[in-house]
Amino acid sequence: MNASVLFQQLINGMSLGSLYALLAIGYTMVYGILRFINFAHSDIFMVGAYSAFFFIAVFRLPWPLAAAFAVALTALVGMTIDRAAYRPVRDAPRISALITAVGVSSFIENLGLVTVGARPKAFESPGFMSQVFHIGSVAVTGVAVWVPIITVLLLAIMMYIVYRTKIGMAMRAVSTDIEATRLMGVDVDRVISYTFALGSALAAAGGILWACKYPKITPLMGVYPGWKAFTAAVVGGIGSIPGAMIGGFIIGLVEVLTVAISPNLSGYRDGVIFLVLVVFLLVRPTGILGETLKEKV
Amino acid sequence: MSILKVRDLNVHYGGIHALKGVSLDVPEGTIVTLIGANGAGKTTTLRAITGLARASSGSIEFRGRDISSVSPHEIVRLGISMAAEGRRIFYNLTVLENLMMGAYHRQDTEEVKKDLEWISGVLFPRLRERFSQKGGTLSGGEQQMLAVGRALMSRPKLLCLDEPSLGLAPLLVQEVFRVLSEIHDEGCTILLVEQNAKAALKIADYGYVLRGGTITMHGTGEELLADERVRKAYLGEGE
Ligand SMILES: Nc1ncnc2c1ncn2[C@@H]1O[C@H](COP(=O)(O)OP(=O)(O)O)[C@@H](O)[C@H]1O
Ligand SMILES: [Mg+2]
Repeated sequence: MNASVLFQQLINGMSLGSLYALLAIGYTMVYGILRFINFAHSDIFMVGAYSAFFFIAVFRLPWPLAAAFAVALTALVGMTIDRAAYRPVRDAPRISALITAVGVSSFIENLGLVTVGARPKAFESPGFMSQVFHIGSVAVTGVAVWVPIITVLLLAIMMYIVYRTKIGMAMRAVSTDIEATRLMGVDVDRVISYTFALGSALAAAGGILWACKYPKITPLMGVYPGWKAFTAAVVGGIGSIPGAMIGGFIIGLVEVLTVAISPNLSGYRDGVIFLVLVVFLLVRPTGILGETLKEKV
Repeated sequence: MSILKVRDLNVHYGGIHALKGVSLDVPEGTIVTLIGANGAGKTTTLRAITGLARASSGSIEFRGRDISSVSPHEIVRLGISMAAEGRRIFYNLTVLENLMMGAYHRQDTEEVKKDLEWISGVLFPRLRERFSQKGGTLSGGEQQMLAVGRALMSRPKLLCLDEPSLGLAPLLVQEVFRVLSEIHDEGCTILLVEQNAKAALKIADYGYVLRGGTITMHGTGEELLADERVRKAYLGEGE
């Protein structure tokens, strides 16, 4: 592999990693607060892509507007899932929430299959995504360039909300100690609702960008990206937002480079990712940025 | 005038009957203390008052309103705040953020600034020096000050404290009690739960002794301090 191919693969890896990062944040935020894996999060990703598809194909909205509406609508769907499915089991043992999440995920996927059908739909991406850039001797597609750029912007907005605003401060407080946060006069259910909205908005953006990269969308399109993003969250240290971002980029790069270095491994690309997960769970179960700081007694 | 009236309060944890008909009064502007051995039900009483534990029967009246079924965050807004057992500070938030969490629901930004000034400048100057440090990096004593300071940031009408001197070196215990009198002088009503019965009764206007989920004795701080049974059981004085 020569330098220009490597460079091209690095860009591809960053672009795939961006998508995992966008999706991983929702897993890590919900886990950080409620200590369960929101399996339906991968379906939220799919809902984001389909919403954009319908806003573009059916309502013929201009692309930026369609994307913005899709993100907002998906955020609402995420909040609704929390409200309808997870809030009723908030005080039940963790396992109940986990089982509920599996149920919600299965429900959304099957609802998708029934309503929009299993046949892939062709997603119309905007022109700038298919533009080709020449960097030296390397040619890269617009998607590979724009996806990481848009992702970094979105992550910056998300970081601003979480680390610089009042509601973000409450989100971080809730993730340390729900009861203590209640004692501060905070309506914790509302904070959790906003957390779902934020995580779902990022997942929707991820789903839309994914559809630009792989323009055939199906109701099960979220399943594999979901597992990989979840892996990214674990590798980064579940519960840690910066960890989920780093984990996302690592998983994206590992996946792309595995195939680049040894093309006959391409059939095993998913297997390699899960191998990374298993190795991480064995060697460093808390992940890269997992919580190590504990309260002093 | 009692700001808080608890009447015949019962609390169960599953099959455990933790509070068996507790009644107590906290008159406005006073310090009332609740003492008792480990497991007597002191924390449960405060948890019921702040809405974290649900009463199975009985009433909790705060400024004339029954709050026994009001949610915890609404109770804070009504004017009760608590520095809970075990400090419970947000270790991943900075000291300043911890304090601002205490004022989360307040809209009066200017007054919040004044309170922050008072709490971090006058009451606990050590906190001011550590504003940008994570809460988890503070020493035990500093965390306790932060917990009390944070509870004060809501500018409560009634401040509940659950064993604020627990695990502190004697000098810090003195400091905590000095601060409590200072807060009291500012007009704040205090309900103080303590295992340090002597210090608590000295500072308190009135005290209740809780045992096995029942109030077994009550009286002014001086009366309880002088009582033979209290001295034996809670002040560590043999016969
Ligand atoms: N979450 C709980 N679940 C079950 N029992 C509890 C719980 N919390 C407290 N208890 C029981 O209730 C009683 C009173 O406890 P507590 O209010 O913590 O006492 P104190 O604060 O005076 O030490 C004890 O017997 C304790 O074991
Ligand atoms: Mg206790």
